[in-house]
Amino acid sequence: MFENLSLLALQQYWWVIVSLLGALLVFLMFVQGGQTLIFTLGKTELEKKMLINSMGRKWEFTFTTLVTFGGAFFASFPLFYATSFGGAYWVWMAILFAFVIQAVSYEFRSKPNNFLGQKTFEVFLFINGLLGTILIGTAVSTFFTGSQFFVTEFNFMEWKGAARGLEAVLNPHNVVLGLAVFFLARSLGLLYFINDIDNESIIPRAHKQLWFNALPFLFFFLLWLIWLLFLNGYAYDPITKVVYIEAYKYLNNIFQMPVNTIIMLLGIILVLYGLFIALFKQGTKGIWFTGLGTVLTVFALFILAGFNHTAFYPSNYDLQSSLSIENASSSHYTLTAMSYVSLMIPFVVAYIWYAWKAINIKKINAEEMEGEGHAY
Amino acid sequence: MVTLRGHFLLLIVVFLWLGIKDKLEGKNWLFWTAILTIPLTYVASQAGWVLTELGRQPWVIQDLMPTLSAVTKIDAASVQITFWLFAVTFTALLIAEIKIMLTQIKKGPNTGGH
Repeated sequence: MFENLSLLALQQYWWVIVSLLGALLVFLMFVQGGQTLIFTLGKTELEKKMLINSMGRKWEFTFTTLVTFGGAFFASFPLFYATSFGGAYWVWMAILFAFVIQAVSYEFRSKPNNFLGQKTFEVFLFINGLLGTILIGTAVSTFFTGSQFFVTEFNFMEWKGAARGLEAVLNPHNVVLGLAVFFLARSLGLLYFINDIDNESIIPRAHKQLWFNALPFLFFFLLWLIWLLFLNGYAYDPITKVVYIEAYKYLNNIFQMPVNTIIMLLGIILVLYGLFIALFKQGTKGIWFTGLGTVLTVFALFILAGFNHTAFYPSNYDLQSSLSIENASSSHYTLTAMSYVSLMIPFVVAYIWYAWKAINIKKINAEEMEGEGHAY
Repeated sequence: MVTLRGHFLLLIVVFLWLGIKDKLEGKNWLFWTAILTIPLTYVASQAGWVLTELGRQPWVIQDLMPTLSAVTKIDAASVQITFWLFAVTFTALLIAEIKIMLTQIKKGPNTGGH
């Protein structure tokens, strides 16, 4: 079945999968957003416990999606893995470190005699929420703005950036996306709390905080998007594979990929609608509209970055070192084998849906936190 | 590693056999063997890794890619900083884990806990 597809078709199939996983990850970073709101929304120990347990029951979804996104990306496009992880060493190490401290914080926070104290682990959760979102947003923005690296004909990579990836924060365009992701994660976290927690103190605070996070998110995201549309992009000739600068490349991609553009617009509308019903109608279902909208929008942005002969990991040090889905992928054999495994995805999605529904069958409330059952 | 594998298999079979026959009670020598086997699992795991990673040298991919060409061009200081960062973090977490486990063990299985 898959072995009869061309290499290009397989590369496109895997870029679609990677884009979908990246989009799901950004939605699931509502956990990170929620973690940065523990001290803002939780004024008592019981309230903090409710917030942490609301996030705690979902943190593994985000973590496993991050790992799956990374793993699928690196296996299908190993030259990106080699270039970015070896080159932008410090930015990825910082992201990794931020996620290491998240995992242990949920498990150790409420345990007696945990050496570092409850407050330390809560600060770790905050750090994960802050750094995880901003750094991932900044790193993903370099898919559009470019990085400083050089790849030889033998695929040896030399990173030319001054701080091994951290120099990305010196480009304001990258920082803007980082901040957009940060405020989006917080907005999604607030929408999730509104849907998942039954408490008369937390919910009004969450509604109020949504104003202070949704508006900055919209500002930074629109700023980044409009800026992107005026950016010079990195295109490559489909026959000669020579990379060249194309003015308004991403705007051209918008017009030349109308289906993708419709997906993006639909996503943006859903994001806005979810925020609208939470802000103006005091609704509790906003998370589902904004969440789905986030998935569609981010998916479309990844497609914008990698399809239509666009270099998804451009090098502004040496244009011809830029990576595209055509020059960074695994072999036909590897992508074929992986594609057969990808047929399991619907079963995984079904299981995730079932587990999510089972976990969320009842809203989090004070009685449950004070009871005998498992709590983070 | 291979020797330990034999030991693990034998231990499992003995436990299974005695369990089915309901003859586990009083076999303290067996229980002590099981407890002392715990660190051996880490030894076997590490032995396997050493075998794999030393045995593959000088290749990452046999006959196709030598290790030398796979190594990232990065200064030693960066790798050292990363190493110490993780060493300090995981040492702190190890201390936390041991303290938590000892506290739970003292509490016992029927009093609180998860």
